Amino acid sequence: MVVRLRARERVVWSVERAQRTTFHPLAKFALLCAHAAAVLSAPGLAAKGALALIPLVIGGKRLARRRAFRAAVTFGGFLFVLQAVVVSGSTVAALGPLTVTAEGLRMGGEMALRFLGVLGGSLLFVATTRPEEFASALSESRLPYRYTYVLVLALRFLPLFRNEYLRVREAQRMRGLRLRPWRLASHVKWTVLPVLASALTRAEGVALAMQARGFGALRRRTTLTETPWTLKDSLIMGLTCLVLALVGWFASGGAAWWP
Amino acid sequence: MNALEVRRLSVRFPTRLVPALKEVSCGLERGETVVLAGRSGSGKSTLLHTALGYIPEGVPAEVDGEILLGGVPASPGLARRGRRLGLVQQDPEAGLCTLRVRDEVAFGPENLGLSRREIAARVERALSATGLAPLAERATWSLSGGEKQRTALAAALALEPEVLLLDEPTAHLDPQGAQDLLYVLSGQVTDGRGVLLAEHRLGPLQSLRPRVVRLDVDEPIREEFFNTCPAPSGAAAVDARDLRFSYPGGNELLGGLSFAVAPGEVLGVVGPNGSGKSTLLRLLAGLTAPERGTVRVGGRDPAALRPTERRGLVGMVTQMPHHQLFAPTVAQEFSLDEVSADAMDRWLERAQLQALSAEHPLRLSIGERRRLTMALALAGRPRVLLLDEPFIGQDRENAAWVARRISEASRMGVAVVLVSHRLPLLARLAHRVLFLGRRTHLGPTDEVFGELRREGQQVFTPEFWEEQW
Repeated sequence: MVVRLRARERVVWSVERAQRTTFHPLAKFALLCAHAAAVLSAPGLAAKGALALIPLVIGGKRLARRRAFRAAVTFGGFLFVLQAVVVSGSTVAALGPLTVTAEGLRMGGEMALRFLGVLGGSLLFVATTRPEEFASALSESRLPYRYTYVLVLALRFLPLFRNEYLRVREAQRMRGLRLRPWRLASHVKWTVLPVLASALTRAEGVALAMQARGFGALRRRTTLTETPWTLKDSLIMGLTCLVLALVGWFASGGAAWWP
Repeated sequence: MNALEVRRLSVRFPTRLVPALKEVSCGLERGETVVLAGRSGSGKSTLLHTALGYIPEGVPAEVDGEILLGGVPASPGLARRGRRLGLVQQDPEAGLCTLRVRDEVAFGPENLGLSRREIAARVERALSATGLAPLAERATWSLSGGEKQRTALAAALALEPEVLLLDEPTAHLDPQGAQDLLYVLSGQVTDGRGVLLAEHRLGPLQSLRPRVVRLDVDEPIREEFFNTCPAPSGAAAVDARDLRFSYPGGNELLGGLSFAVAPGEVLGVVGPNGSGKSTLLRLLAGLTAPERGTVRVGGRDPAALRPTERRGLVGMVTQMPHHQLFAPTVAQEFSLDEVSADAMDRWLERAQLQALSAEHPLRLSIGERRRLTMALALAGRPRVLLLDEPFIGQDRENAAWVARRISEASRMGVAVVLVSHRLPLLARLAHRVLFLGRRTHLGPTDEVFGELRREGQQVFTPEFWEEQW
């Protein structure tokens, strides 16, 4: 029995190691921040477009198939169209009462690419990082785990709150309550408060479960998942520093961004 | 020597005049199961939470008496006691703190600062003991109720406690989920772990051979309360034909189901979690449209009804009473439904809520909230009553009150569709039963349960769960 258990433990260990993502979560997070800074500060459509494409090239189908990414592309398209017809300037085309301007196209393109670049990078990070792994990595970097674990709890509660909200809205429909979308006070009274009351009850249960299992009792906690820092992560951090230095240099008027 | 013992334990909450517990003494040895029995508010959960240290650490209260672990006074502090007493709560959702089953089980040992190797070993042992190894990488939100509760149990076991504290652990589970959980628990008892359960129903726990500690006297339910009208016939109040439904990315539910419910008839709906019972009620209420098929309630499509029309035609009581309560006081809940003052007084009296009419509904106990939601549904004089697990978390007294209202509604010609895992109660109330499982059965109550017995699905028959007091 003891031998079998040890064999199983080895299996568990190999599973845990195999599940580790290629890079350390903090290295990925630093690179994500640098990428976002570069996308936001890059002047010109070409530079923004090239930077916005990077997450899609790395993420490939894994990213493109995400519903959130498809929604982001749709919203980016909406931003582009809106700016194209709202911003005044030299007319490129007229569609009935709407006029498309060159300035509008440029501003819309920049805005959409900024949005897609930042969101694409964030979604790639989310797709390749488990929240527990990220929270553990933050704790290992000496941040108090009580705070870093908030991230995991937030994600734990999101589907729960959504479900509670849907149940409350259904109950309202059954009792003939009709809430006008613009009457915010009614929504607070009839929807937010019941959902909040329900959520607080749930939160109390989760708090009890966490405390009863020793959360917060020790200053430091250990983790099942190992997140070692490797040479690859150091290289990623080097790349991050380089990107940030370039952003800073160009932002302070060091040189033109793009040939 | 007792693994856990409480001596002359009294607990008084600052907001209540009456003590929640008064000089209660009981003990539990290793390898023993003790059930705390009693009606809602008798202090079962309070005793568990006080033994664990959550009261008074998390909930302010005056606590007198002694709590001993392994014969010595328990050191204060929830985290310290949590190492020796593993808690499983009533609501399967409430026990889960992480996003993946393996992380959930590892959570406790991680907080104890154990080595990575020791954490992995404990996780493996707990997953094996609860049969969860194949689900280790699953997201916790995607589990069924029974799987969630087993995950909560595995998480408690990973702390390797001497005693397991379980607060009505089967209340939200389907019969199969409850049976699986009890099987795991019996293994723990055999391995020498003490099990202390708070539970309204003793019947399902017989396999654990428990010793019962009563915190109050509970009157048995008399069967005459449940006489519904004779098997009714006539034009259907509910008519569903060829119903099919599926959630995005999920399997098809209901599989072309057709049935009718006559006025005064009680149709019991039984089946495992996820078989589509609550979805069926939502379709009948018109809250969701079927993918295929038609629903008629009182001859009309419920999805096309205006909200005020629906209220007069269909009454619904959901699993969680707090989802249905919106007004600042109990009395205003009736005003919201445009119930006359006379009718409101009558229903408040019947639901024994007169003294609480000015209270906020969310300040009521779970039993009082259930009585209020039943009263609200019936005060609208609906032609069809849809009930989704109305007995969850209810003690015998409240369950009997709800059962009496169902039988009254039936005698007054209301068509009732009753979804419930409390099979002995459902069997006494229902004229016919609809079983939603791998094979669907619809027919008179005795015939459907007889068919399930022949198929070897005893866990879905009332005899299996008959409450023995």
